[in-house]
Amino acid sequence: MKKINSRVVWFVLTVALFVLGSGAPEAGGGIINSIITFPGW
Amino acid sequence: MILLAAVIAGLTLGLIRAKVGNRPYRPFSMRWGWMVLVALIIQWLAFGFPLTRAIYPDEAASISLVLSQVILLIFAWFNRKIPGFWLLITGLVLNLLVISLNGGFMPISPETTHWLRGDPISAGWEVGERLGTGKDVVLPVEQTKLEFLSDRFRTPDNPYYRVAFSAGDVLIAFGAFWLLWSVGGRSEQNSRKET
Repeated sequence: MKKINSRVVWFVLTVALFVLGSGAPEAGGGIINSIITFPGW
Repeated sequence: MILLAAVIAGLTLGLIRAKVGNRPYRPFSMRWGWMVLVALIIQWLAFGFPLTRAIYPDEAASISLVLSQVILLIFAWFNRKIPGFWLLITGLVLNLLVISLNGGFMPISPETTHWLRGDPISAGWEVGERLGTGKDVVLPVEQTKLEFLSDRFRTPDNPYYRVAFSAGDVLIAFGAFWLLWSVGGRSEQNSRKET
């Protein structure tokens, strides 16, 4: 299996995080809220 | 999720483009990438992490939102020569502008909130107040400054998936797509020149 290039992963991650931080929540920015939550809180 | 869809589509088509052109998918070197992480942590503490978002007053949350977007803007400015970044910058500026002029939150009309929530009445939200612990504030159209830049656009109506988004979000989505698509078209020679 081809090794995943860490530079590509970092690049895509940076773009994705930038986009989520820049945009309105209902357009995708709010996904941070829904992914990083803890049960019962 | 137009923003995430743009990232996924740009990455997928960029990878296909690189494969078809027999080129490696070689990303651009972005400067000051840690700023994105700092901005996201600021937002996460204000809007995401349940322990902290519950104790953040609205004012602190709005300051956090504006501050994090300013940090993202500085990061984008440092990287403005990379394809797609001018669209990202323009979209971010438009969102930042409308947020700053409306009390530090993204305005959304009561009508759009009704549509979004699918509620016949305003359950759990009030006009003039922040929408839950999120980034939006419910404001009537006539009280919204630069209303055309607010979360006023809607996805095609269906009961399963409803999203409101702004003009800035559209530009950010196109910018992200263009950026990730461009990576697939880079030649080895151009990549080496940059490094």
